[in-house]
Amino acid sequence: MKIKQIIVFLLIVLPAQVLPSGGSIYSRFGLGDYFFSFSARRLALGELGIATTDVDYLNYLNPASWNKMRLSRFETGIITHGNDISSNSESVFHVQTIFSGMMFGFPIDRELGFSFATGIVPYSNVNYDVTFDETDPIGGSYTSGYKGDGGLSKAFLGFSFRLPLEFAIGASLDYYNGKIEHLSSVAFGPESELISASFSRNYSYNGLGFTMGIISPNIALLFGSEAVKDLRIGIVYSTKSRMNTDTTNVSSTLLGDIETSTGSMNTNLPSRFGAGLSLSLSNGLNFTADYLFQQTSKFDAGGRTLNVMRDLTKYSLGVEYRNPESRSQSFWEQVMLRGGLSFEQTQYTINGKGIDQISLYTGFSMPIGFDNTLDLGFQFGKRGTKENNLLSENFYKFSITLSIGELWFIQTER
Amino acid sequence: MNRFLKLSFIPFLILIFARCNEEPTSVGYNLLPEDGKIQFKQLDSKETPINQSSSSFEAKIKLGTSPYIILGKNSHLESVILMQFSPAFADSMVIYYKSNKVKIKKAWMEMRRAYKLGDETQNFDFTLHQVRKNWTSTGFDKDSLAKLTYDSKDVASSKVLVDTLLKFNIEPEVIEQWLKYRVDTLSAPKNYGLLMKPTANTQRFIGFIAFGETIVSDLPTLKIQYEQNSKVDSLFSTPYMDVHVVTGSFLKQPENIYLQGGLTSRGFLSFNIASLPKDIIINSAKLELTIDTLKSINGQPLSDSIDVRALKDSVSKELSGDSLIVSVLKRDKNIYSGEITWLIQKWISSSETNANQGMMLSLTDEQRSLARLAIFGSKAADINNRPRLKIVYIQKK
Repeated sequence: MKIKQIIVFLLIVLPAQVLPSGGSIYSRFGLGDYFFSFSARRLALGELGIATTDVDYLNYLNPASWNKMRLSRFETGIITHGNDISSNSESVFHVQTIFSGMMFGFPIDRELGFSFATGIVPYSNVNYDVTFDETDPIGGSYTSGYKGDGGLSKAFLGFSFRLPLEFAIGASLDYYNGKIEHLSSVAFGPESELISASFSRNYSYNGLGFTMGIISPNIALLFGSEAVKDLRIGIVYSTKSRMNTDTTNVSSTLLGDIETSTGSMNTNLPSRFGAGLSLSLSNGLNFTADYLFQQTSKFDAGGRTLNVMRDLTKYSLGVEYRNPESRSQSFWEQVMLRGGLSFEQTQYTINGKGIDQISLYTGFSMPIGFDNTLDLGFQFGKRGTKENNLLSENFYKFSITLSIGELWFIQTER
Repeated sequence: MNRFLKLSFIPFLILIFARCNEEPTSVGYNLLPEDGKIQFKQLDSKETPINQSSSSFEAKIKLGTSPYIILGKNSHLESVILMQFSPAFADSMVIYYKSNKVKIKKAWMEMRRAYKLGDETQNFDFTLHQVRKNWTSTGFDKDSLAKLTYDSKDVASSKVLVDTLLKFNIEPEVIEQWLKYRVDTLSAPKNYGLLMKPTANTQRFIGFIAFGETIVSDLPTLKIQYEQNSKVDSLFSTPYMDVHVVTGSFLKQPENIYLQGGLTSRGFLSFNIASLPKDIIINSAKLELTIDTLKSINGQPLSDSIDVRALKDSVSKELSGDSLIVSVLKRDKNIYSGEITWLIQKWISSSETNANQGMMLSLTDEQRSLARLAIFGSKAADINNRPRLKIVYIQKK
């Protein structure tokens, strides 16, 4: 247990020690970049896995996936995101490490697939930091700075249930919450008589939503194939969330920070739909194929839609190998290997050009005791283009997640 | 297994702590939406005239803590000095005095000049009087002076002003009276000090270091030569309390703001900046005041700076709570200029609708100077001479 405690401690403490630096300017728009997975396992499988029903992992994308939860389970981790951003004239490399959230779930009635899960996971991330040396007939020489920080997180709790004919359903109540700050500043050199100053606009969001999911019974049984052990289809839908948004404008002046205006508005987080296929072969290979759609073109803040937003579409494929021999005791025989790829039409369309992203994934799980794993996932992706004065980004994400399964809440018979 | 676990952590930790973070660059600047960018704007009252008003008003200041005591007179001002001495008459001197074995042979004053105003070729003369009423430097003003009683007799003689040293004799009877009072409080009037008054033909001012300043050697010094039991000895004494009081007439002309030290006259200046948006940040607000040199009189050391404070009420001229924050305008040729950024930002950012109650102008050294600065006001005939406010601010597009 000691090693697990150390790892949990590191996972919580490390992000606090690693201050985020500037990331992509694309995250300036809307609510920033979206997250689709919080765990290293999902990341390595192409980030989705909507139809996957796990006995030993938690998946927040589809609540129906909790129906086969074997033990009480806790998962948490961190994600390090490195981004090599290039324009036509220069490039920059940024790294950001964040806490990837946590999930906790336990089975209530295994026979009925009745399980409960809750957690808090990042939903979006705004992180950019741009400076530019300028001259102005009035202001003279100065450095302008534009910085954004924050994002949305999603706290949720929900249940899964297995219906007759082995259909699994699940639903969660989602609470979106977060703060995003956009800072605009001017800084003058010591030779200038002008005073450096900045404007910041702070958004504070909170709103409710629901996620409903369904996973089919094992369709492979219909074919009677020995090679195909399990084949399922999953569908998930997250409702639109009308988030109450408090806005605060703050000016940093010679007199200090002055709150110049406050207000309240609604921000509409568009609904999200996903569908996936999960295929397990008897030789230990598991395949996933997923599709995710979010009508982000309908994103609006205070009734205003953004002309830099389009609908988000993501396609992903994943493969995982886990030793089919469950009695195996060797460390290496218990290691699970994963890989994946995805194509994403991101929600951004800037300068008349849609920003697309393609990613490759890999990862593995290491056992650290019975039903406990340490998962590592790695994503390498390419987003955007230098055409139309846009930015091309080569990025990586490195995720580490601890998944701990324990036998809790089970009454022992006397 | 454990070894593999540890090894797998190493690259990850290196990745995190190496960070490879670069300073922010301009990558992506061109993609920022225009409506969030910052733009500079300027308001220059010289180029875009804005409503402004100015005036002069009388203010009462306490001169008891002034670092100078000033004596003199010109066509519109007169300044007198009050000093109190307490010579350290020794007990032996008192005993000898009782047996008539003490005689004040000579008493004279030496005062070193620290300030001057007016043409040095002009006449400077004064009279010295024994004060006959109790007074204190705290709060002593021209009203107190009007009620002061003193002997009409001039007890000073042989007045000599050489370079920076003013020297004059004081009648020995004055000192003897003080000594007599020391011996017997009933046989002589109490020592309430001396009053120095400029004569009617005086046309300039001279200032001296006042009590409380650290340069003790430059304090006015009363020197007493006496004979005690057939031996001649001397005694020095410096004032333990002093004050100067200025009287005269205020100058009020609508086209000028008069800042007068000593008397005291201060200036009121107001700009209507209601046309500026509320959501701006002031990067610079520079106030420029042009001096009407023909109507100004300055002393030495020069009164070369003007204090600007925020007013709470433009009518009563009451200062605002943050009046401890002072902007200082410095002189360059005939223009006093300085930053009043904080003041403009305060007016802009205030939630009160009438936050802008104008500003008060005063000589930084109004307590220790008798200079009079005439500043072209808001109604000056030449628009170019009027007070100029130049504001540079930023606003989001």
